[in-house]
Amino acid sequence: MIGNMDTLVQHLDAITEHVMRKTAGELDTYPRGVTPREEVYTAGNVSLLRFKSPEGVTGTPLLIIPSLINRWYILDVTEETSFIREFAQQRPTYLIDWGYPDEEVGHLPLSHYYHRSIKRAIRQICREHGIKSVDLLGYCIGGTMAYAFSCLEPDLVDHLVLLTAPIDFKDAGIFATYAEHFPIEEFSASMGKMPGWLLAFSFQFVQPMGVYQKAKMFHDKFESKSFIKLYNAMERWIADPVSFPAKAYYELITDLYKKNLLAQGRLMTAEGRQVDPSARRAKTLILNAGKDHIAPLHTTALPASDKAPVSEVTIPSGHIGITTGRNSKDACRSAIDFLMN
Amino acid sequence: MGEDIMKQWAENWEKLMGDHLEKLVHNEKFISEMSKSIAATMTGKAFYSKALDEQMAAMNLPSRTEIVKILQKLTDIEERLIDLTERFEDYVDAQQAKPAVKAAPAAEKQEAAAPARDAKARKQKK
Repeated sequence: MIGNMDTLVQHLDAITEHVMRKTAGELDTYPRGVTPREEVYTAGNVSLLRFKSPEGVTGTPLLIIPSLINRWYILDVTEETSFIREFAQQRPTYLIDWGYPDEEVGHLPLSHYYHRSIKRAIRQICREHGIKSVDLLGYCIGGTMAYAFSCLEPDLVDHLVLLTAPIDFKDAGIFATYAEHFPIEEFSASMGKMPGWLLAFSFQFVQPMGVYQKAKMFHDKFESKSFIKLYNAMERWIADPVSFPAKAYYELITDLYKKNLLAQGRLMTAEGRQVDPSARRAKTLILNAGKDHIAPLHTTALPASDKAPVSEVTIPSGHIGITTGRNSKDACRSAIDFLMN
Repeated sequence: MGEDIMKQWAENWEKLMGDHLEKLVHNEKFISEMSKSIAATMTGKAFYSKALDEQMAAMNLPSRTEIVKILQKLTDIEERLIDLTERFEDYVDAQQAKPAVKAAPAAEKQEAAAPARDAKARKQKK
């Protein structure tokens, strides 16, 4: 039934998109990600994007690792809120685009993303610039993956920014409760992927009044052009869900949420390598959100065995609001100050 | 005044509904029962998919499962090709770096021989 729902939802999506396009007017052609970029490398679904910087911008390149759960351009949704635009003004800036993974990568483990793919991207950047290490910024699960990578390859990472990245999944809030009860074995036996629409629905489900409150906010502010611009850009992003490959999802739920192996230093890659927090050396900034219900504050703390230099900045916002809300500029400035010093 | 009453009513409704739904979605028993329902649906889907695969096999047609397996094999081949390309690039980079290493000892030899040559030249001049 869930498999057939997938097709039905795709048809409904296409109809909704058609209707929205007709009513969106000029905002329909608004780009997904506003900073000019080019694709420098592709490996399967995964591609490496390089963002355009002004002439003369030098320094250690920054590689951004977005979440696997939704599209990367939440960090570049409008000119006014774009993190990427700000970073690209300071440093050569790259980003891994995870694409739209489907069942053809359903057998690949989570370590394919947090080790192999990130290593490939860094190798490409290092060859291009003739350097040995880069700075990393990971957002949400992208931060979790960036952290795991910096444990596995400490020589390749100089600075690490963890943006609302859950590391310690013990008592990790409502999503941990759902993960605890989620029928992961039945899922593994029946599904080749976790459908994007089901993931998007689950995020809305845990905030049941979210849709109503959003409609109310729209009613109050729709006459403001700047609000409408951000609102439409965000709605487009929300309506662009990404499926999570099956095996990687299985490992996310069992190894991270249920067993909390990363924080205990017992997470293993598919090749049998241990992700050891004590091996990490990168200078780290934990940038978390005070009102985050997806990655509550205590989940962003690093394991006790991690002895790398760490600083922490808490922004009074939600998980998504830290990148697009009224305090997003403070978050962006904190990250840039850390990377530049 | 009517508008104020409606606004008040909407706010009260929002608070009441919000509190009730928040409690519901955070209730472990509710989550547990919902998960059991999802598990049953997934089990049914697995059974249905298996039956469909067997039907397709009986008609000598490839099933979705088989096509996905082929796509996964292609992904594996692509991964290996990428790994091989990277290894080859690393090898070429290493080879290109070698002549610079070979030239360096030769230059050092010439520099070491220079004082001896100068001494010889001075002796000949005398």
